[in-house]
Amino acid sequence: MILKDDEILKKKFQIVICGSGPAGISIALELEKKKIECLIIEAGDEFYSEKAQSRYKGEVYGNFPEDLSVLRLSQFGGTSGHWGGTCRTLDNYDFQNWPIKKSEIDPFLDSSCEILNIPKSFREKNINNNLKIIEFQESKVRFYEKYYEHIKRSKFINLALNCIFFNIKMSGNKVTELFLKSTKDISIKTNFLVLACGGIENSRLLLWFRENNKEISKDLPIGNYWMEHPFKKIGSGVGNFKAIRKNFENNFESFKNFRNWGNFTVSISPTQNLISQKNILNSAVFLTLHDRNNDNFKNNIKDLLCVAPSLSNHILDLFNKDLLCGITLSSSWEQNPQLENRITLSSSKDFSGIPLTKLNYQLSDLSLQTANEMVNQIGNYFIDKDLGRLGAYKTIENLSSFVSEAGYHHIGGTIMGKSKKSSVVDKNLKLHNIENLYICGSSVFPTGGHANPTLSIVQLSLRLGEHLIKRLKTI
Amino acid sequence: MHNKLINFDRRKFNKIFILNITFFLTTKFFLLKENFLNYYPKNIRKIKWILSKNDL
Ligand SMILES: Cc1cc2nc3c(=O)[nH]c(=O)nc-3n(C[C@H](O)[C@H](O)[C@H](O)COP(=O)(O)OP(=O)(O)OC[C@H]3O[C@@H](n4cnc5c(N)ncnc54)[C@H](O)[C@@H]3O)c2cc1C
Repeated sequence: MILKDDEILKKKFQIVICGSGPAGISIALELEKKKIECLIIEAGDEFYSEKAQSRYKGEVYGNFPEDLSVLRLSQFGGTSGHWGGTCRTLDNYDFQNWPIKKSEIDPFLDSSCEILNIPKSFREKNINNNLKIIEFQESKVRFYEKYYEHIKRSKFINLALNCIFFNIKMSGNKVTELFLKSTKDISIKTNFLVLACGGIENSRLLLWFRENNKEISKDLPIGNYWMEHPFKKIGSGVGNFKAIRKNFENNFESFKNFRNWGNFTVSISPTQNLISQKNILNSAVFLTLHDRNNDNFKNNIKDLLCVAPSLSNHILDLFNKDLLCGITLSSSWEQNPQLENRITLSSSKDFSGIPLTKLNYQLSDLSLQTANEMVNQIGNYFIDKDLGRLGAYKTIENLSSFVSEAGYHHIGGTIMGKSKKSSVVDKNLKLHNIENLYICGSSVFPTGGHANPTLSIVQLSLRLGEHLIKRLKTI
Repeated sequence: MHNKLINFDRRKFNKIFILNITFFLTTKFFLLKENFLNYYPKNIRKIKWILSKNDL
């Protein structure tokens, strides 16, 4: 049901969810299954509006590649209005620094895949001790298209659009009142509040609440350890088209459903063995084959023959037999949590009066080492199997020449953990020391793995829904 | 005499022509060689290749 201001004031909601993106809607759907009523507060409108979007402006320091105001969407359905839809689960070993194991969110995988309309298949297969081929799925779901009419007709999910969640009032260790800016300023009471405003806004709002409420501890590292998934073309090469296809397709034909880049793409990731042996981060490398028209093709051959003249005959032979192809290695990979990468509040404010975001972001040497090691491993695999030759672009050699091409996955800032000094929420996503304030979204991930985050966000949201249902029974 | 002169001139011309062409070709060769070596100079190479010992 869509509610107007007066209707919001007339009702009392046991659970209020702030944000109608994949996280907020998934929690509401889980509550609805058990016939529990909730209110979703959404700052944006049914569709895109310049005004709502203007709250997403911010200052960026360091080498973050994008303007903050164009990445996320402030509208019903949140950023799912223009996301890419690529999905994969996190790896077991991504949970090493999490207070929960992968097995604790696995039970929510089936329902999450139903929400995202994707098959529940995320296969993988080792190709040697260090590398594995992995499978992604593509979701076509826009949360607006799938859920707007459903929520409009729902008896249990209430939605307030164009309603900015502005502040909270606390008493002891409980949130007692929520302040909203809609057509007028209103305040409501609730038993449980969930912030699901996205990977940057969760930190921004919480920092703002802390400025106004001494009850939220100064020690909580709110905004800190913010991360992204760098994305870049990291390498290139030439190879034997037939041999490569044969090598990968025999085993991985059914994994081919990933992206329509070039003629053929295969996704390669490090095994736990490689990560721990070389002390690198998690990563996904997309190896794509191109025909001879690709710009890089001729340059790659010239470049290769300058340093490896003994390969000339072999390359010429493949060329004459029409077997030679160009290869591109693109990658999306993990960034390590660093204290200096953080969200703080700017001195400028948005039209509702909340300070804008200030983001400090710098990639680490370890991130680049990871990209280089992956090219090295895949390059050596190509030599072993006589598939071709690969090399790393010099742009990933050092940080001064590196700029990521993404900026889409916003991770950390309100990270989950056991310690109140080094994390913001506990394993149930409840703010440390505060009884009834929960945070949901990729901002709670202590580390990001390489997998696109939304599937894991939905899994965590359903788990939070289940937890809230249990807590409601105790009051 | 006239014919002789012409022949002499031709011979002279041939000699000069051959000298010229040799000079031209050698310089061109050196220039080409130079050009070939510098065709893809190190500083514009974009890729650090992963190679086996046998490739070098
Ligand atoms: C270009 C792009 C491509 C992407 N591609 C992929 C992909 O292929 N795969 C993948 O897994 N992920 C992808 N992502 C990331 C994905 O979009 C996010 O992980 C996902 O949308 C996060 O969901 P969320 O609900 O946490 O936040 P959001 O979707 O950002 O939703 C937050 C909602 O909260 C609302 N809100 C914010 N502040 C307030 C407030 N004060 N009061 C009330 N409401 C508020 C906002 O208006 C918004 O609707 C992509 C992102 C971008 C930008």
